[in-house]
Amino acid sequence: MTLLGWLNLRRFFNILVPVVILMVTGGCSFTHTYKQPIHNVSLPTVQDRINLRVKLELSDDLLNSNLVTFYDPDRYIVPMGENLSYHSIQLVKNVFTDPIIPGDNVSPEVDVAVYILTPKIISATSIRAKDAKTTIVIEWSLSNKSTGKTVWVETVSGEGSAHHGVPNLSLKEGNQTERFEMALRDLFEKSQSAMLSSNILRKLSNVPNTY
Amino acid sequence: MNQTIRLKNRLWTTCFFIIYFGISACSHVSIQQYPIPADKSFESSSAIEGVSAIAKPLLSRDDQLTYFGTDMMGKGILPIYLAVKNNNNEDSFILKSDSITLQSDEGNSSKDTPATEMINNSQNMMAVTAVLSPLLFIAADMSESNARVIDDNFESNKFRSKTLNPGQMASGFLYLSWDKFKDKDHTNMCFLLSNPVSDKSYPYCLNISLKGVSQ
Repeated sequence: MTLLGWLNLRRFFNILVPVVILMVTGGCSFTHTYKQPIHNVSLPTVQDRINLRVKLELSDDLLNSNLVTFYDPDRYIVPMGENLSYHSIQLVKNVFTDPIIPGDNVSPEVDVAVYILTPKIISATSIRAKDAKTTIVIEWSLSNKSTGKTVWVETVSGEGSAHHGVPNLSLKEGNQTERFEMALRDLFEKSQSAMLSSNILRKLSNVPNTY
Repeated sequence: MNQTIRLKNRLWTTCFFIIYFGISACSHVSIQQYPIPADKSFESSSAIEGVSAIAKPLLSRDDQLTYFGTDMMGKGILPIYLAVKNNNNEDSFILKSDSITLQSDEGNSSKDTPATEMINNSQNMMAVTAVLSPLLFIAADMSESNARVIDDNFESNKFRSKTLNPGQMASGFLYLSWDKFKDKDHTNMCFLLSNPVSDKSYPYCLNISLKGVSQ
């Protein structure tokens, strides 16, 4: 190979190598998972609990739910299931006098005469902007197990926001965690308030128990 | 010579960051909240068991830009604002968003048609809540962060299921596939109100005019 040919080859590789690296890394997408500890969001103490036997049922959709933020081509995932189930249990214990939570041993006679409370995840979004915001929306539904009729339904939205000024900062683990905890607190405080202020739930609690 | 090159590189880097942060800080779309209707807005609508409802389609492009940050009908969506007020002093009513339906067949539309019949006539009806995915906006011709803000607003404005206690109101937007309705003058929106204590259900229908689209 002549000296001129060798120099051209070197120049060619000097350009080609960065281009290949850029194409490969640019085409790759990475998933960053920010596993969350149980955030112990303490709910306000309730003096006047609702006198109902309520069984909490948690769906697989809720237990496996994730909060996903896209920052193309990457994805940032915050698993929510453990926190949502833990706080749903705390909520039911806080609001109702006779709660039945997943894992409780209940006799078949008791299991028939209950109201079923189901949280359904409607949406979970996290936007990466100057004012980053995390929103979790849950639909609570209470039905009479023996009749199958829905007796109460409420959709509650929990929000956590923070001003970071720079969009990319909102993707950092600490910031995601902070917003997630804020959204959780807001969601469960509003849910508790909605249950306690419901006329229907108060009326049902006045109906003599059949169990 | 080397110093000059280094200085040039630093200048380019600085310019890049200034432009990047400038764009990041300035490009956020501004969206207004749709005003909550006053009590007197419900006076003209008929009441069933003390519950009244109003529905208003956002037919103007300007309104869509103000409340959604984008031309919704240009993307094939007609937003309809629905507000339901419970003026019953005693009873509460459940309104599930998946019970809301629209009649797409104009030939059968009638203000007096009971909602239960319309809901059961599934060939003419479409579930309103399952029309569209918010991800639709992501591919739109706008910056990614703006698209996310619009997407988030689209989602958070949706009409949601609610139990209406005495005096309470439920409101939000339903998203209609505009292609199915653009040749029609009006449509009927119907939903069921359930009283969980008496175990009775009441159909409620609204006639919505689709005239007056402005581009």
